[in-house]
Amino acid sequence: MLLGLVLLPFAAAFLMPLLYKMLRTKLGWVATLVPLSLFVSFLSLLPRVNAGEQIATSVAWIPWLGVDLAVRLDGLSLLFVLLISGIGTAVMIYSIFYLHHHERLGNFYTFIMLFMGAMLGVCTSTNLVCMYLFWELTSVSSFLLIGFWYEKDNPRLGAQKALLLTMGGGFCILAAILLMQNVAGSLNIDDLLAASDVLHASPLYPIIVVLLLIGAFVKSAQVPLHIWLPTAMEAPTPISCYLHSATMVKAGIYLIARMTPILGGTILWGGIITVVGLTSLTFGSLMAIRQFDMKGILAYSTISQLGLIISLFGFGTEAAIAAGLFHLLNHSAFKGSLFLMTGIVDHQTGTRDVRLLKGLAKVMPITALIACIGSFSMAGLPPFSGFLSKELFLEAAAEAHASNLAFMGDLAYLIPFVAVVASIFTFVYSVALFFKIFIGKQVTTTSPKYPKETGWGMLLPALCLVSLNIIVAVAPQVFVDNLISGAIYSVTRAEYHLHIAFWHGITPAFIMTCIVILLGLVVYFNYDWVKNLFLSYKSRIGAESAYQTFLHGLPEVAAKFTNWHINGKLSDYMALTVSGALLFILGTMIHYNAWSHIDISDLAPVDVLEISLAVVASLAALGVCLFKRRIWAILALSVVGFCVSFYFVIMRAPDLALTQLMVETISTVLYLLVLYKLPYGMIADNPPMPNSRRTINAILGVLVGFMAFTVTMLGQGCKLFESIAWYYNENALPLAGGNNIVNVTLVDFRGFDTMGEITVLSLAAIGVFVMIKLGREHLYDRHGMQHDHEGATAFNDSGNDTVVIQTDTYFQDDDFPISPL
Amino acid sequence: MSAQNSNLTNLGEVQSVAESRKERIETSKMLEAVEKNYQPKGGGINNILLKTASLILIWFIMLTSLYILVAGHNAPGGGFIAGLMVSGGMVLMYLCFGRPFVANTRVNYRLFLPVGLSCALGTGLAGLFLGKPFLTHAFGHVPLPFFGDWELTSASVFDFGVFLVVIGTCLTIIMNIGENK
Repeated sequence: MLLGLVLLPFAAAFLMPLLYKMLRTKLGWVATLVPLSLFVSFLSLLPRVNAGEQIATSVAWIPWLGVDLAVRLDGLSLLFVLLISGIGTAVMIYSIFYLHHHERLGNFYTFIMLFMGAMLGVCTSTNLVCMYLFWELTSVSSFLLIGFWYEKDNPRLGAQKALLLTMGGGFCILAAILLMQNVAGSLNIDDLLAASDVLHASPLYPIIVVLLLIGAFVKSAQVPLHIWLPTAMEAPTPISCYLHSATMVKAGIYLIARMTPILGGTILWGGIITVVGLTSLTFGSLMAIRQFDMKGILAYSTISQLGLIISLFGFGTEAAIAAGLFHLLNHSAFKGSLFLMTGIVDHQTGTRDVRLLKGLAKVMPITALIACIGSFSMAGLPPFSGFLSKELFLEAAAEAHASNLAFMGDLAYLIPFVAVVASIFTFVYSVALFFKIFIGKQVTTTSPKYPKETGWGMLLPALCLVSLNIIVAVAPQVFVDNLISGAIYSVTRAEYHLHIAFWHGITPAFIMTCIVILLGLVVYFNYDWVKNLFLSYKSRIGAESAYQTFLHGLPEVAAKFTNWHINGKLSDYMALTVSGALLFILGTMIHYNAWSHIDISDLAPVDVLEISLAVVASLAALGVCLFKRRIWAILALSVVGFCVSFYFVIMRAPDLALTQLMVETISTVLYLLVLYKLPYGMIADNPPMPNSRRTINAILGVLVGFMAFTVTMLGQGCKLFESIAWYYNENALPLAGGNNIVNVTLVDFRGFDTMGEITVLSLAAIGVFVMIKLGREHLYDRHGMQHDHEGATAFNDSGNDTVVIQTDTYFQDDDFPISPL
Repeated sequence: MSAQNSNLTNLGEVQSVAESRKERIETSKMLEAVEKNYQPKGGGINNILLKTASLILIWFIMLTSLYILVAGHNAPGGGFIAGLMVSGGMVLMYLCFGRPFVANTRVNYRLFLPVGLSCALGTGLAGLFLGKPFLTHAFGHVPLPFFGDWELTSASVFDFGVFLVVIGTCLTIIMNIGENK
């Protein structure tokens, strides 16, 4: 049943195109039924999972590789699938009202269904390869959704970047999975859990950890692999809300959480995760100040908040992990609602530029309410749930020096300091997001459309999500006991009771919160000065420049290499091919000392006629190389052919002789016909060949001859099997009714080969015909790519081509459109 | 100048008629027309010796190739050689007479390829319908009243297919390369 639930969105995805044809714009309502039914089913399963029941299904897929399609619902999975299906429902309803009817709705819902199913698969799989499959499916569906408006440049580039990075991370994860299977012997999470000591002790442990974490960090957009997330904001806003803030980017966190009992608890694990998490936390919050686009602010805020959660997993204590899981829930709630709010503002005013928007609360009160609750929750202000989780984070940060990060020594005292600084800036941009846009004296007149409040279709999902902030704040213990504790158990394998309250007393966390709010207010009142200060920072190095260098540099290097050896000259191709053959065959012969195996004891006697024929043929062959005029060379070549046919006559093989004669005649005629087309003059001058090249050609030729000689002599001497000629000699007449053994072999005993030969002949004839008669010019750009123009114009999500900002949407660096780090 | 060509023996009549200057101009125009008639366009090696010899030889070549095709089963020969011989004969005619020869016959050599392949494949499939493996050949002896014992084999059909394919290949290639001047 669980497998059915997980695969339900895939089935829906298959049906979406058909349903689109039937339902057109009503498709969204039918599509919403899928996440709604999933949400209700998983809610009904909640009590059973909390009671400890194992809801699992497993289908054997590739047994001999140890790969099963195995899904299981435990606490952590349940938390995630409820998030996925719940937020999915909200986003689907929202998207019905958000997308215009002329958009490609069939594609949209198909891809969202695909994503939903894949994400459910990631969060419920117990077999690691199965999880990897779904992981990559999320990458693919994310790619499809980011590039939804593929007619514009930026979505395509953003989708490409997202795909390249997340797929690269996926490969690292696959490598880590395979290494784990190599070390521990199984792909199943339970088996790996039992074998975690083996994993820790293995010398491959650091590599596994690093690879796994690279994959998780790419997916969760941590520094320095975060560069795909801001450009992924080119996707429609419902997608940004669903994938790139609430669910898909949490997949990295899910992976880290899943692997914590298996691989975690060591210095390497905790250290890397903490450092990367805290760096992303600070970096994201600092960068968010610089943004002019609301979605840009939210994108960097997502990077920052995910860094927060990840660093909590890095701290490693049960309290920290509990705080991380709780913040996961709250972050989805407020970030999702903020994205939906951004979409509403964009839809109603036609712009997302914060410089152009002011005082919207007068005309869009409900949206303002959503924004207020969401941004205050993000800032960590009471009485919202964000305050609760922020408090827990600061508490864990203050305790960090006592946790298993004790190896860091005095550096661990830096952690709360970093946490406070980042929280200050989080506070600043969150509060600015609300106040700068919604509070003001007059409604802005600089936006493209005059704003008014939107309909209930878009407001309701946003209100539902944002009310979650309040509900969790009102009754946090309910949520913790039902949802979070199960998840905590899955990760830490210990019963930990998280006690949440608004007031714990004057704890260090409370003091830190007060400092954050005070200093945050100070910074906020100097907001413009701070923003200009940040904007003045320009940098040339960083992950984005590395990515661009890779993206443009790799095809160029490949093109240069290709141009070097595919240069259009047949003689060069021939030389390369022949050298390769020589390397393999002569090399092998030298290695095995082939010449010692040559046995010439039972060769037939050679008489004068054969020797003289050999001399004539050799002289003619030499003449082919040395003659300067083409017609002499062609005639010399035909002399060689006729000598060979003479040989066949001597050896008493009339069929072969006849065939050789005819072939020689016809091919000579063919050469002469072609001769009319070749440029007149000496062979050596067209094109001119330097003497060094001629020497190389001569050496290659001699070596090839030597190789052929060796092969022939070896074949003569090393008779491993009886000759099959006697079989044909005896059986040609009785079995096939013919006296001519050669012909009978060709058409009867080996008829299949002959059929292949005549097929090849036909193909050759058709090929020549096509090349000559239908010859076409094919120009291709060797480098195959165009440089994307910097400073592409921005478009807002409603599909209006309103040009809002001249440079790249999210960043103000005129020289360097994407983030400087 | 083909005015010296001994073929134009009737030119003497033309020349003897025209005496005046105007008539000489007309004559030269008529000479040109006659030359052009006698000079086939794109016309190969237009040598009289070659043309006469090849017109006779082509019959022998064709007969010999047909003989070799049929006799291949019990004597040296077979489909490949026969096909090459036919191609050789056609090439000879093409060399002598040039493009008009090919254009007038209007045979689409590319058609030989699928027909020949079908013969070969059909022989193979025929065995399948009778329950035997692919490409099982059959042969039998048929006593005919006048010719005596006549041996029939399905391999001959296969060989005929090979024959057609070889002709098709050689002539497609040569005619296409040759035509493309």
